Amino acid sequence: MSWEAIGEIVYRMLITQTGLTHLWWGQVLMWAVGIFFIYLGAAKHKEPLLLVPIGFGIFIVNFPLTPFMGTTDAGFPEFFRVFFHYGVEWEVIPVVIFLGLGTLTDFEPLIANPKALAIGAGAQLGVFITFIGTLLFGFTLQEAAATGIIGGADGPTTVYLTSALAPHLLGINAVAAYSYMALVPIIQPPVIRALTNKKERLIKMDDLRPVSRQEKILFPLIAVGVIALLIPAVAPLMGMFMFGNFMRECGAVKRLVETAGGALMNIVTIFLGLSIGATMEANSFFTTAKPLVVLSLGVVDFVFCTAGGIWTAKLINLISPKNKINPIIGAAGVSAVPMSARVSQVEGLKYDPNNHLLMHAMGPNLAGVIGTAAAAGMFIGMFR
Amino acid sequence: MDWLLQNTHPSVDWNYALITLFLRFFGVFFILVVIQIALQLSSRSVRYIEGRKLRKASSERAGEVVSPSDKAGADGLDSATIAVIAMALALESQRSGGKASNSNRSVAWSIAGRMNQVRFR
Repeated sequence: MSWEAIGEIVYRMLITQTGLTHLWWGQVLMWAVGIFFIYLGAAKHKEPLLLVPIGFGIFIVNFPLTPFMGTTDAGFPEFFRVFFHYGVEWEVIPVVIFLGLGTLTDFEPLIANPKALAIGAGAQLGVFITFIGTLLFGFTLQEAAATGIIGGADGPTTVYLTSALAPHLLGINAVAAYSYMALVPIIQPPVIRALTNKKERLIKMDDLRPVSRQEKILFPLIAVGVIALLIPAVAPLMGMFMFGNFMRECGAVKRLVETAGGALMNIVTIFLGLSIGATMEANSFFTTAKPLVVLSLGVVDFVFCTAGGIWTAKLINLISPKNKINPIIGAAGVSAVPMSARVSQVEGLKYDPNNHLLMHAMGPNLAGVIGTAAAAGMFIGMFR
Repeated sequence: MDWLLQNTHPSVDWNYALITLFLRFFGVFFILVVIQIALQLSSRSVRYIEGRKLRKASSERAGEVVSPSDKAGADGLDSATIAVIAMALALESQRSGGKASNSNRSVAWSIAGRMNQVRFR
């Protein structure tokens, strides 16, 4: 065999079997994005459970010719596509995550202070404002709804709604939701300071009353009953959330609780993160300006959701001046649990070192989860 | 603003979008307020039922007739047995005399208590 023939074989190998000649600047840029998310999660510990797999998914899928998100010659889905198709497109993984979250959630602060539910509803303001904003940038109604829900700061709900209404935006919406959730301690404090005065920030709230076991057992049944009746579109999501919580509170199925809130949730979280990251291929990311609009309006969304919670807390104080609410806890109405409740605690302590708001803020925080699911249900009912 | 409005997707009907959005924002409030009311009602019911159980239990306790067996100590021993035990412990204490260490003070204290209990009975 001549040297020319060998050279020809090597050349063809380089062209057809390696990614070297197929690499383009968009993919290199996406590596940087992936590594940035890995850095945020692994080094800065910001939402590491999701940002690390998402970042790695973004990184690895942006190598040319890698068989992750396409179909094989035989027509079967490739590795990540299997998880994406059956887990995300079939709306299974967000629901399973909600089951696990239910087993980890203690609704006591919400049951002790039901007024917090109104704050959770008010904190959905940004969702609806962003909906209008995205329409102005050429989004369809479905795309606008899926983008608006980012401000609710609830990852599984964002994934659930986006896969139902605008699956092509799934990657960027999930990434925006989780990365802004990680940035809650940076986004929320200036909004809190801008919308409250010193007198309001110093309000001391009464201690929460103790909640009996019977009340805790009844709550998931009541909540799921109301939600399934009024917004059946999110019954799978909220049904599993409340089922997980019921298992936790009834105390009869400890092994199931441990599995749902531990191993099962961890397994699906790995595949959710990787497959969502894998949807961020450079080819689809750089062909439209929509990802940039989503990222820009995502911040606006979070700001208005925080503001909506604070304004609602103030409104409640106006309507019932007895047992005033510290408006700082309104910021926890976005459902980034427990990050935004922690922000409220830290902000409260800045003005009065003896004013511990954490448990008070957990109420609106949990109400925010239900509120975001309610808003998602409204959107699904409206546009599906 | 005109540019933005021209930029909107042709399928978007602004009247529909705005009206339905307004209604649905208040819809979220409505749903959470319904849950709030249901929650408050259930909490009140649970607390009422628990309160009633507590009241019933305490009234039963107050109205109890003291039976001979109830005269016995909380651990089910009758007063004669308690007296014998107390006597034995007291004798043991006397036998050891002034050698009782600090750690035995608590024993002496409990013996005194038991003897008082016997005396009152």
